[in-house]
Amino acid sequence: MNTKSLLLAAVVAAVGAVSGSAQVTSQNIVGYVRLSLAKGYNLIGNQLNNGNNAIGTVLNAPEGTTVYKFTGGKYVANSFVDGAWDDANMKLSPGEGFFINVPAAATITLIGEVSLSNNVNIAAGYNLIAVPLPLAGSLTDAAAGGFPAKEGDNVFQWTGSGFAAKSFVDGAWEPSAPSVKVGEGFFLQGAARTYTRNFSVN
Amino acid sequence: MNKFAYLVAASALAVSAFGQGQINLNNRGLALVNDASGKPLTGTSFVAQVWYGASAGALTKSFAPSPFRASTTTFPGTWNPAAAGGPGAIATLDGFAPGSTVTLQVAVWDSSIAGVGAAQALAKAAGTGLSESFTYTIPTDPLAIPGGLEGMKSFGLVAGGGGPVIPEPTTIALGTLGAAALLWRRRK
Repeated sequence: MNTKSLLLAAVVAAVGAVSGSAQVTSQNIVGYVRLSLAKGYNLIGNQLNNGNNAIGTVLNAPEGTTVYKFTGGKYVANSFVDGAWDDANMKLSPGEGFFINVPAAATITLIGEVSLSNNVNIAAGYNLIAVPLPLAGSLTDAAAGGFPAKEGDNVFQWTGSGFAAKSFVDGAWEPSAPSVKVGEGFFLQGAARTYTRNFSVN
Repeated sequence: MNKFAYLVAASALAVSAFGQGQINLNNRGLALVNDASGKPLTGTSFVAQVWYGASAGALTKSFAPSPFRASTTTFPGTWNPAAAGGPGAIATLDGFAPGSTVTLQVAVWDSSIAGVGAAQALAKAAGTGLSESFTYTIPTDPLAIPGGLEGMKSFGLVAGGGGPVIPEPTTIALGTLGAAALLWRRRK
């Protein structure tokens, strides 16, 4: 999966009060992630906050697309057919990974704000997640994924036709530390915890 | 804890989370269902019901029927298991564990016709449809996305069926004339 991303510059709006007696400053980082999807299955994740994060606002998917979420150890499917999602209320929150099956190669764009404060709940067992920020690099590197690995963790990354596994054993990743791309989703198998990955503009 | 212990622990997690197999009930992108004239079937009154069991002679379980799509659909010949009242796109095969093989068959009928249902379709009554039986092996990999209907072959409705019998105007007129003639003869 070729991944091309662009994180737009921070949009900082400073609003000065007319009276001059007070000043209100708001900060938000608006951006987009553009993903080139191969025909068939792709494992991606949402890394931007788009309001209610309903599937129709997060994805601009082509006709015939099916999304597979993994919840409670089982898959849930949602198809975009005849211009509508079967389940328009399905949410794709930042930090959530999902399979997307497209009938032909396509480029999709996910738009939203960079969420500054993120907590991804991880249940014991298999979880389909993503780094909740559009950052690439080592999954456990504090400057990239910032993922808190635990003994016995297994990470499964999609190769396009199967999974490549990496395990955290005796304090180290084997055969090597997993590296993630912007927009990539992956399976994590391990103990329950909260994956916190915050972001500061400063 | 050594690596073997982790492997055992991981396997235990997988088994506990995936005791029963899942199936994808969509036929979109797979074999289609045709009407009696051979065109891909559309119309939300038509429904497809997937039956399953250990063998073709023991198809004892079924999912809720799924309606076909409207005539304007991009995907004629397909049903929508995710529609309201349907079983959902991905369902659990009751009593079948990952790694086992299940036999399936699809029955189709027009739910708008009174007295027509799964029994008529399974008996291949006119106006209904029944696929050949086929099999699906549930993947053992807990991360595998479920398949299901890849083995189904395209099939069509049995000719001769259709909607409720609605008399044509000429038939109604002839009937009225006949009834009038009977009344006239009785009075004589």
